[in-house]
Amino acid sequence: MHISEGFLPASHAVGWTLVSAPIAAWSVRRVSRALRQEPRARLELAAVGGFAFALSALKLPSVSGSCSHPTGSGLGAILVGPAKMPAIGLAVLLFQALLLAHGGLTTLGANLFSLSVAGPLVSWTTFSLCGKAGLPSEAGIFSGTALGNLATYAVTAAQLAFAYPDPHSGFSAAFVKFASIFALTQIPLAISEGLLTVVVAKALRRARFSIAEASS
Amino acid sequence: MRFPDYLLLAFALLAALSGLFWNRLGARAEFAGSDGLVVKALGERAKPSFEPLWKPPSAEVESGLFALQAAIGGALAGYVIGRARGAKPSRVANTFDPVSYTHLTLPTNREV
Repeated sequence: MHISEGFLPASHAVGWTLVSAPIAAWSVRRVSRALRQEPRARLELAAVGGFAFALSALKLPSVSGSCSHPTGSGLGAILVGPAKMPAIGLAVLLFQALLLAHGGLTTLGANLFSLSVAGPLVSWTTFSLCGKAGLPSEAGIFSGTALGNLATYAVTAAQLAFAYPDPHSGFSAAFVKFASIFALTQIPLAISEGLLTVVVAKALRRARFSIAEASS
Repeated sequence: MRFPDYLLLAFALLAALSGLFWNRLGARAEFAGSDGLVVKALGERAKPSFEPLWKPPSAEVESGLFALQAAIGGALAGYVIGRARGAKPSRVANTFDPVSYTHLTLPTNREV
């Protein structure tokens, strides 16, 4: 999901930065307020932030013969809510952009939007809908995480198609082209991340973290 | 229907490493990063307008830094789960029934 440094046309880089910057600033304020006011928030944020940090470093071989990585943001979206995820995503993406030349500063806005805004919103919405449908929370966590992972990559493909539309058939053909590079690779990894997140969420619940908070 | 954790983890591992079976099926896979493949698909049309400020000088340094990222994350998450579980009343202590030692301190009971 990382669009590499410098690969967005200047207008798109500025545009996505303008979209993501206020969201990130709002999220950082939400997080710092929660850290001051709720003693428990510190532990919850450390757990979901650590999970996101660890998972987004794991590059896994997939069935298409290419490598990709989980996003690690479904757990946080479900446990602490999607509003706090842009702050966590910002830390992950800055670490990778500055130390690993993975992603970049000019593409930070676009990458933050796919990883920490779109993905977590899909995860949280799916989880909430599963809860309303009376499904067990494991089903909601699994499908929320897996769909959030896929949504992140779908948004990346859309951002690329928007910047580099097909000369003949425009946005849709370009979107299909980019999405097909990600899709086959990402589906097994989305399933894997969904299963792992169920286990970690259960462990957190046994450690007396409530995962029902996010759905209220 | 509930699945035990070890089964979920086994399936997660199987799905995560599913690509490794790909080579055995005869497909010669290079396992290049999908982010890089997208850049390749852009072809001639895209030239990077901005270079990273700093790049890891070798693949070894890069893998080391990725390991550092995973280690920081794992340590944080593990610390929180461990701390929260440790804060619960110990299960070991609860498995022992209280024992009365009165018979040891009251010799008269024994001699009656």
